[in-house]
Order: sequence, then structure tokens, then C-alpha cells
Amino acid sequence: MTPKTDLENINPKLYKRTEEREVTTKELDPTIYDPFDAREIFDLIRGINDPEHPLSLEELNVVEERLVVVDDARNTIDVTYTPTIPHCSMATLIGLCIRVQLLRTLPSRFKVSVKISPGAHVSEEAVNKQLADKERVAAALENSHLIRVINECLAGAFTDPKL
Amino acid sequence: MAAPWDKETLCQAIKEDPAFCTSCPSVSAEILARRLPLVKLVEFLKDLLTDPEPSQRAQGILVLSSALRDLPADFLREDEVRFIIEFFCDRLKDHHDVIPAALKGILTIISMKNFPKELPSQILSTLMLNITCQSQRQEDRRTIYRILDALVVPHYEDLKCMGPDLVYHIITSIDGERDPRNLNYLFSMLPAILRTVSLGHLTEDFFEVMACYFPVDFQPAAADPNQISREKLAFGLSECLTAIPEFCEFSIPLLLEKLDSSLRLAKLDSLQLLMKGCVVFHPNDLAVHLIPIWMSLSREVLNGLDSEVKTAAREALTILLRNLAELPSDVAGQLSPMRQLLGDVISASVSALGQVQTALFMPSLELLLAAAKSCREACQHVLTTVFPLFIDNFKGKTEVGDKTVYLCTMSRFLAVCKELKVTPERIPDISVQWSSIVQLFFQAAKHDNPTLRKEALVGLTILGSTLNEVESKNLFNLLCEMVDGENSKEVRDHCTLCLKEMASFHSHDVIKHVLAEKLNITDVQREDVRFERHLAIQCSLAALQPFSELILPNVIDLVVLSHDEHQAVCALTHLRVLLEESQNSNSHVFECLHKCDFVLRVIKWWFSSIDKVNGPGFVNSDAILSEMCHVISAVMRNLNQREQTLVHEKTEPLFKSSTKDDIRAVDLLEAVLGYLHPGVVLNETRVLCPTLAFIAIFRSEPKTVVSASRLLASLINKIPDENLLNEILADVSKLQDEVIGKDNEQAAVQSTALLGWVIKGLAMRGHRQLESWIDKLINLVGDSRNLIALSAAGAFEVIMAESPVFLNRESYCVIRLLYRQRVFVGSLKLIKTSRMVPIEQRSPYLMAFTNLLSGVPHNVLHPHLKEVLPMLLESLSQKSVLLLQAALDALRGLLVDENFSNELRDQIQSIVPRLLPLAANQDSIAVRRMALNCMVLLSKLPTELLLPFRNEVIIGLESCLNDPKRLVRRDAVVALSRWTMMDAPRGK
Repeated sequence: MTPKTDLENINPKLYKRTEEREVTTKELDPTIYDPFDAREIFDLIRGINDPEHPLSLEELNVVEERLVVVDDARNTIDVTYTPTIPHCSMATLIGLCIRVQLLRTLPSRFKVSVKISPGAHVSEEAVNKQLADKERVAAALENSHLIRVINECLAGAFTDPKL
Repeated sequence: MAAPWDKETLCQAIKEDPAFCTSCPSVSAEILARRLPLVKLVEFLKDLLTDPEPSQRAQGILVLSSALRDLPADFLREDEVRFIIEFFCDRLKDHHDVIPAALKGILTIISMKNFPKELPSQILSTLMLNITCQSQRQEDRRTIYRILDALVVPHYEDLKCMGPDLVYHIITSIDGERDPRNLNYLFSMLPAILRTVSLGHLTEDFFEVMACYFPVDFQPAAADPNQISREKLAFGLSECLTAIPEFCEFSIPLLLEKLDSSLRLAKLDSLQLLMKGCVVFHPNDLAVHLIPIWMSLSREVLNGLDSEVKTAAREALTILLRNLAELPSDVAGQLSPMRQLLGDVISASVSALGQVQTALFMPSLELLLAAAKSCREACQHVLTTVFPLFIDNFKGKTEVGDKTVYLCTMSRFLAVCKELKVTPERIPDISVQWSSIVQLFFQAAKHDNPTLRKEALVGLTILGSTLNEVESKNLFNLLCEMVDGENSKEVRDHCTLCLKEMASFHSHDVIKHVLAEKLNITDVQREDVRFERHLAIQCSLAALQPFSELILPNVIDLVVLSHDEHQAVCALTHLRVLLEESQNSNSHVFECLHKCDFVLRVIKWWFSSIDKVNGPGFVNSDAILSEMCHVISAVMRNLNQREQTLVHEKTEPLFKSSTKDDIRAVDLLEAVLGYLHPGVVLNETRVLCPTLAFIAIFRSEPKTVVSASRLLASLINKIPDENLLNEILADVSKLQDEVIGKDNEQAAVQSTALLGWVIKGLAMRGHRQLESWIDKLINLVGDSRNLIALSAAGAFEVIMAESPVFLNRESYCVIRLLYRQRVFVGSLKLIKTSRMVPIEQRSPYLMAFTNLLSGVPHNVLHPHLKEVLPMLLESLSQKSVLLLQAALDALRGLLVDENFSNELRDQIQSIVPRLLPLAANQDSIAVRRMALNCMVLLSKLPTELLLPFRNEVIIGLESCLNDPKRLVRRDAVVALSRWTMMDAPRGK
């Protein structure tokens, strides 16, 4: 007697959340420039909620720190993500969420690319193409239903700073 | 005495005062005194009662019922009651304006004592015939309910003759009620009626009349004077729907239907109803609905999204199983309903227990735990069926993380077993399995991984009381080995906890084998790492009653007979840890230390060691002194007045006769005197205070200066004799004036700081001259020497600080209510004075003011906010980083407090333009971060007020995303996302 549900992946594998980044003495020194690194970008996207489960993308291992490549000097950031199952219908939406989050939280000097990890999804190419197309991303954000869903996923991404 | 009532005066009173009809105690008093017979009153009212105008008739009846209401319950005879009731019942057939008064009359009379037996049914029948309850006004409906409440339960025997008509009448009266006030009343009275009256074939109808409100959907008006909340109504309704076991067959389908809803509140209400029902309903009735209940519960527990719903569903399962356990276990080869449900629970959860990392693992585990918690039988069943699976998984997994999770899981189950007493002692059947579990934990405690070892110890601590003799001995050996050999501090801490738990019921063994042999402190070398570990364990065991007297004298000896710094510091440190943990709980520890003359012996040792020319040099160490101060003050704090006096009498000569002029004795003196009860007589105060002031002004050691200042503040606060206090204050004041007038700037700065401490002591006791002392400090804020002005500004922080060490209630300081309010009001002059000085010299004033703000209780600040905010905003435009930090901190305090949102909403246009440049402040990371945090807090104000600034803020904050410092960028991202999301459409 197992209850019925509408979820595509009823029992996904969970991963541990990374601890808060520790503050180093370098970071407290006002004279030193802290370059953007993979962990910093990962921190921006790891708290995004999965559209289906009440879990974050980090807990579902959709995004990983090792899959973020940052070149601060050349102003490029490449993020690769892995949907939980190869036929996940939410893959495009997740990619869009990551894209929008980075668009909103990074300085405009960066050129950002968001892609599916090679071989992780059946329609990988189509999704990648869609996410790389500025016009289509902009058009998607005009869609009032879509932007609602995206905002819902992004709303809980950051906790309040400790006072 | 007023003239007796007659017809004219009565009619006059009714005409002139409408309130007279509802309250006329003077009439009742005359009836009671037998000066006005009841018949006469009716005669006086005759014209009114027979008036052709209905409203006049209503008035007459009202006067009559009000007069009767104030009479004692046994005043009327039975025939009188009967006659009056018949009259009132008759009035129910009258015009509709008269009915409310008649109802009130009936309500008054039915509480009388001499109530004829046949009347209750007569009243109800007349009510039924003549009144349609739901067409009355709200308050009249309420009166009808009150009549029902007063009649049905107390007079049920007399009403039985009505048969089903009674139930039918109640149902028709309440059916369709919509007013929350009335519903609240109904929900509180119906359970008693339901439990008394037999409902017969109308059970379902009665249930349906109430079920239509489920789940309660109600939003009270913002300022509801009746204070009816949704929760209150929902609670009342659930009480009604589960009032009698017969409701089971209707309640369960209803709640299951509502549990299917997507509304969170509907789910929670349904689960609450289920929990209540499981307590009241008969297990056989519940068993019929078992399958659908389980389907719904498992869906919520395993796949639900809301944690509160999940918790409630698990609780409901626990209570349901507990209820079902009352049925006889397996009859004629058929599983009992409890076993059936338990079987379903186990089969639904075990499949997910093989993979730790899957999303269903934790929910399944919690589900099993909830089932195990229900009763002993379920717990034992889970233990025997599921534990082998845990053990296999634990052994089969290679990942340490997975193993740890399984171990942790088993510990949680074992804790439940222990609580329900499912142990081999009570149930011999499980002893084989139990000992295999114990062995598993023993093995895990020897694993290479420290996390696993730690979890094993947690489990062994739980298992401790159930171990047999051999196992206990093995555990002692294991723990002692770990104390000596374990490298991880966390694991050793758990060793200590486990040993403490074992010691609480095996004290004899611990004393004999552990303390004296394996973990003794006498046979190990001081340099050996084992010495400190043994000492730590011993000190922590000393918290237990039988161990204190055995261990503490040895520890004191270790200090006073020490040969090196390491030994003394070790002993003092662990003693301090023990005392901190024993605070307010283990008084025997302090009694024992007092019996050993601890304070005297340590101080004597310290003085004699530093006085000796060739004494051990290590005693001069700061670490020793600081630990000593901590331990001494902790002991002093927990002694009573008599014991404190003894200690003080013994130690005073030591301080006096100390030959070497070691200034650090001040720290020790503060430790001894800081927590003194005001009743302890201090003869030396007169001399001591000026000396302390001198030290605070002229010495350069910062720690000693603070100690001396703080002790002075504490003494000034506690001196009972006003004259003595004034003498001391005069001395201190004279000394300060001299110093400030002279060229020695450092001394003047310290003297200003001391002034803050003196004011703190005076303010707390509510001294008369407080204001003049504050004025003195305010004058210094305007001093031309910048260092002194800043020191004066800093002093306000000391004054407003909340209960610093030695200056709080625990140290018996006199603390007047609202003393900080008095300081604050006294210091408001700062605002006026600052306006008179040129802008470039205002910085110390603003600094003083922000320091003042940081400590003001917000309810005190509230009435002055209009004067305060401009100063605060001005501070935000200053350059000094220190000032900016203090101001931002104060602003943050205001933004956090919801009470200020009304005042702050008018100031958003002033705050935002000041915060934005601070978020890009070049000079300080802290200022940038605090400004960004304030931006986050600001975003919590009502959205409609913030929207005009939204674009400005978003554009302003975007530049912070490229800040050179990562910490600032992180805060900027949060602030920006809050402002971006502010008005954004959301939802699925």
C-alpha cells in the first residue's frame, strides 16, 4: 500500500549541505582583493529550491562546487548542472532559475554560461541551446507564469545575515 | 436610607433611566428585606405589563427579571417559581419585541433552587413551540443557548420524558448559527450536553449540525474586543466532534476527506481531530477505518511538504496505535488491528531504510520511531523485526558516514526502548538480541573513525543502565582506555558523559576501580597528557553528590601544593568548568568547597607564594590569577550571607598584611567582594573606595583599572549608609576634579572613564544626585581635549550596559526599576547642547548619544523617538568609522523591533539616501556590511512604503556586487535579492 503521488522522482538521493564558508583572516583585511571563486558562485546557487521537492539544488546534487568554473580576470563563469534523472522535465526550468539567479546577483562584467553536464539528460543539446539564447531567456522571463515559478524557487535561496 | 419604592417612584425611575430596567439592585434589596412583597412589585408594574405598546410591556418584564436576578437562589418558594415561570413562558407568545425580555426572565428563574420537577420540559416545549431560535438576534440566541445550558445537564432526569424531542429541539436551535461569539459559547457547552443526553437515532443529525463548521475558516477582525481566534474555535469544535465514542463513524470519514485537501490548516485541523478521536473513540470502531487512515497518514508522513503537518501526522499515528493496543492481541490466528497497522508501517518504511542518502530515509525512520513510541508491544515488535535490518546495514556498509547514520538511528530507537522499559530486565525474550546490540556498539566504539566512536558512546550512554555486570565492567575498561588514548576531544567529552551516566547508578564501582585505580591523578606524571585528562574526568564527576567530597579536597591540594604553573592552571581550569556547570544546580559542590576553606586556602597560597623572595616564580602568571578570580567569584556567588561573612573575615587580614605592593591583588579582591551580600559588614569601605579610585585613575594596567573601577561601582552601589556614601563620593569627586584640571592627559582620560563607572553604580541604586553627576559627564563630552571628550562619550556605553559582571542582580546590587530610563531622560540634554556647538565639533556628542541609544530599553526610547532620530540620522552622515558603526548598530536595533515600524515608516526617505553611500563606504568593511544588513531589515517594512525607493536601492546596491571584499559582496547579494523580490510575483 504505497500512496500515490504526482512526483516524477519519488525517492531522490540526498546529499549533505556544505557548511557555511569560514571567514579567513585575508577576507577581513581591507587591503586585500578577494577574487570571485567557484565556492562564491556555488554559494549563490546552492540554496535555490527544486521546483518539485522541498529541497535545495545542493541537497539533490543538481549543482556542485566542482562544476563551477570561474575566471575572475577574464570575467567568465561557467556553471554545469546535473538533473536528478535523465528525462527530468524540470531541467530547463532549473537551468533558467540558475541563470536568473546569477543574472541578479553577479556584477554585470561577467559573461555567464549555464549548461547541463554532458550525458546527464536526454535532450541536453536542446536545453543548452535554449539557455544560451539570450533572446529566448528574455522572452521566458516575460512569461508571467514562468517568472512566478522562478521567483518561488529563488525566494528562499539566502538566509538573513546573522545579527 | 432611601424612601421605599411605590408605584409612582418606580414608574418615574423607569421612564427617566433606561439602564434602570437592566439593573435595579435597590428594588431587589427591598424585596429581600421583605419591605416590598413580590406581589406588590407586580402590582406597581401592572400598567406597564398590560400596556398596549409592546416596548412598554418589554420594559416591565425586564424590570421584573432584573429584580429577580439579584435575589438569592433560595428566596422564592416552589409555587412562586412555578407561577413566575408560567408568566414568562406565556410572554413568549407575545409580540416579538417582548420575547428578549421574557427569555432573560426565564434565564434568571431557572437558576433558582426550588425548581419544580415538571418545569424544565414545560419551558423547553414552550420555547420549541413559540420561538425559532435562528430568527432571533445574536444576543437573544445566546440567551436561548444559556437556557439550554442551564437546563439540559442539571435537569436531565426531569427532561428524559421528552425523549427524542429534547435532542431534536437542541439540534433545531443551534442549526445554522453563524456568529463566532455564539459558536464559541456553543462549542464550550455542547460537549457536556453530548455526554449527558442519549442521542439515539439523531446521533448523525447532531454530528452533521456541528460538522458543517469543520475545518474552521475564520479571520478575526484586527482589533476584536471578544478575542475570538480561529484556534479557539477550532479547538472547541474538535472537542465537540469527538465528545462521545458514537461519533467515531462520522468523524473519521470527515477528517479523512479534509486531510485530502491541499489547505495546510485543513490538514492540521484534521490531524488534531484524529488525535483527539484516538483518545476517545473505541478501538473497535477505529479499526474499521484503519486502511483509509493509514493511506492518508502515510502520504502525509512520507511525501508531505510541510514539517508541521508531518509531525502532527506522526503524533496521530502514535496515539492511534496506543489506542488500538487496548484490543486483545491476535485472536484465533488473526492479527490484531494494532499488529496489522504496525505491519503496514514497517513494510512501508523498511524499503527506504537501505539507502541512507535517499529523500525517503529520514521520513521512513521518523515514521517507525513514531510507531515504536506508541506502546511497549509496538516497540518490542519494531525492535525484533527492524533492528536486524539496521545491524545488517551497519555491518554491510563501507562508508563511515552511512555507518554513523545507522548507529545514530539505533541509538534513537534504544532511547525509546529505555523510556518504555522494553529492556532485557523486563522482557527476557529480547536479551539475546539486546546483548548483540551492545556488542555492536562496543565494536563501533573501537572503530578508526572518531565520529563513529562518538556515536557509539552516545548509544552506550543510553544502554548504560541495562548492561549486565560483565558488560558494565567492559564498558568501564573501554572508557578508561579511551580517556587515556583517545585523540579527539569531542569523543573524550562523550566518554565523560557516559562515565557520568554510569557513575550515577554504579557509584561504588566507579569509586573503587575508576577513580582510585584507572583514572587516578596521583600516580601519573604532571607532564603526562593523562594527568590533565584524569583531572578533567574527576572534576566533572565531582558534580555528582557522592563524588564531591572524595574528589574536591584532592583538587584543592593540587593547587595549593603545586610545583609548577601547568599543574595549578590545570586544576583551577577544570574546577572553573565544574563550577560553571554546577551554577544554580549542584549546591553540594559549593558546600563542599566551603567546608574545605577553599577561598582562604587559595588566596593564602597566592599571597605567601608571591611574597616569598625565593617563592615559586610561576605564581606570577596571569593565567593562574585569572582562573583563580573566576573560581573564587563563582564560589562566593553561591555562598549564603553567613558563609560569605566568614570568608571575608578570614581573607581581609591577608589583603591588609600583604607586604609586597602587588597591584594585581585588586583582581582577587574584586573576586572576593564582588558577590558579597549587602548584609555583610565591610569596615574597610571608607578607606578602600578612595584607594580604588586612585588605582583606577593612575595605574596603567588596563585589566586592573577595570577591576578597580568596577569594584568601586559595586561598593558605591551597595553601601547602605547614605552619609558614608556621600563622604566617599565627595572624596572621589575631589580627586577627579583635580586630575582633570591638570596637564596629565592620560590620568584625565582614565578619570573620565571612572566617572562612567561611578555613575553606573549611582544610577542603579537611584541616587538623589545622579543628575548632577550626569551633567558633569556631559560637560566633559564638550571638553576641548579630544581624547577626554571621546572617553566621556564612551562612558555612556558603560552606564547603559545591561548587567555586566559583578553589577547585576546575582551580585546583590541594588537595581531600581527603570534606572536606565532615568539616565536616558537625564542625558537628553546632549541633544540641546550638541545643537549649540559647531557641526565639526559635534562628533563626541553624537558618539555619546549613540552609545546611550545602544543600551536604552526600547519601551523607554519609544516616546522620545522623534527627538532621537534626527541625531541618529546626523550620525549616519559623519565620517568617523567608530561613530558610524555605533549609529548603524543603534539603527539596526530600531529596525529589528516591530514596535518602531510606525515611526520609522515616516523616515524611510531620510534613511535610504544615508544608507546607500555607507554601503559603499571606503574606510571600513564593517560599516559597509552593517549598512547592507540595515538594508535587509529595512526591506521588512510594509512593501507599499518601500516601493518608491526600490529602483534607487537596486541601482545603488548593484555596485556593491563588485566590492573588493567577499564578505561585503555576500551581504550585498542578500540585500539586493530582498529588494528585488519585494514586489515580485511568486507562487506555483
